[in-house]
Amino acid sequence: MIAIEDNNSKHQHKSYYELTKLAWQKYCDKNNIDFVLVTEKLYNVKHAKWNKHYVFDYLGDKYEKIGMVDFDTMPHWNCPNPFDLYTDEFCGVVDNSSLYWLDNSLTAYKSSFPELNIDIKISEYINSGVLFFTKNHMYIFDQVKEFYLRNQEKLDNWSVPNTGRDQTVLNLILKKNDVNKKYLPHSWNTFSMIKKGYFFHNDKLNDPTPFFVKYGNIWHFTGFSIEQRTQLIQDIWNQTKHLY
Amino acid sequence: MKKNIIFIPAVISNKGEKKLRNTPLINKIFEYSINSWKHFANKNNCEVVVLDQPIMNSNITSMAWQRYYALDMLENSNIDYDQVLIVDADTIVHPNCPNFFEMTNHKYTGVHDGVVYEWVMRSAECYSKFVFDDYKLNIWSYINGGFQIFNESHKDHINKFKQFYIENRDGLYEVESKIKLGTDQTPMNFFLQMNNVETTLLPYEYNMTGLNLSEGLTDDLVYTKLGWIYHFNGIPDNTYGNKVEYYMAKTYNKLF
Repeated sequence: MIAIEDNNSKHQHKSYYELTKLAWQKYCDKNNIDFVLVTEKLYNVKHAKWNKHYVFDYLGDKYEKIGMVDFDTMPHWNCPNPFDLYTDEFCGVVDNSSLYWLDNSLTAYKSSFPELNIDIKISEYINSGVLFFTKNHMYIFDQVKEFYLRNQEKLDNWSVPNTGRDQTVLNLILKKNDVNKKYLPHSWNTFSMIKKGYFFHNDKLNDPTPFFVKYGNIWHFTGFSIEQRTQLIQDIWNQTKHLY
Repeated sequence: MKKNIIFIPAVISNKGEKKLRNTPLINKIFEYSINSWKHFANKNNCEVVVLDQPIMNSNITSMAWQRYYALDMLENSNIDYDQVLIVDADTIVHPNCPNFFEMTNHKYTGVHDGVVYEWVMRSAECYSKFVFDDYKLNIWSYINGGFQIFNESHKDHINKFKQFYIENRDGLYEVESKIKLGTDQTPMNFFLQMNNVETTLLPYEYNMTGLNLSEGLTDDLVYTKLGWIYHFNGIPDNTYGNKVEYYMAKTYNKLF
């Protein structure tokens, strides 16, 4: 889990990632998975988001399979073991929740960096908040790092609105290398939770359980303000912590 | 030689119901859609068949269910077919759309409906409880009913589905009107999964539903750059068909 408080961020995230961290820790303990928490930024990397691509600098080649999750994610207490889902593929969940954003981001990065001017289909574009891969994918992260270091000044000062930071770059590099990917169902990374209606419940059946509890394996609390996110994660944790 | 068929139900409602097929703009909406499909058909040696009159009394069998009579209608009209796409008439296909009939592996084919999961989850749970004996539907394989491809090998399956409808029509109508979570689409998904019908899922580019929620309805029609088949459903429209017609007209005029 990457949980680096970014000095460049206007917001304090610690109040909720202390809880998501606990949830992941307990989940991993229960499922015999090593939990590695990364909280320290590397000295030469300005934005926390680029740090995650140094995953093998943090881990070495000790692990066969690795899952990398953002700190605004939390596993369901009964989440199946994600490492049973794949053999040697690079796994993620397709993210086309905003076509406007996707086009904006792809256009911006492809036009700014000729080496990334690669055709990618929207059904190939994955969200980078929850990724599963193997140690054989180290070369992909090496390429992302090399790209970052080659363009560090430009990327550190990148301010094109609605384009994101590392996610599009990772996707284009995956595509450039024709990496064998496995697309997981949305339950494995429930980004855009409000838009997709995960907080509703089945009123027709008078069932008060929210859909994200019934259907989500890894909850990704995106698509709302930091204040809402903090409150929400605190509420969920308070109500479910005894189940982990 | 057997051709692939594009079957488009495009029946104007005469029931005074507040549905898209009863908007005064419906002729234009159908025209954009059908013309775009004719272009695809010409390019890919397919044939467009438009269902513009109900096959049976739509007060008894709603139009959504009548589309499953596509194979019967083709056979009665002596039209030889290989694969049949049934597609909603609020869709527009891009002039350069690849020939998706070549991507089906001759399996029952659709596109996962994952823009608004709460609707799918709610609908699946209700039909499970009220109609399908608590069968648990895998919602991650749930397909949208507005784009379905099948062939002769699926005839038995579709006939069973129609028979199921006939035998359970009253109950299904009751559920439809009580829960208001779709008509045939969710039962169609149950039937596929309960009968272990092998399916091929095409990517979202081949049935881009929920363009409004996917933040696709931009001035430059961003979806036309990102995918192939645009499905103008789920567009909040207080003006009753105007917005759908606006985006379909704009899309059609941009592409053709």
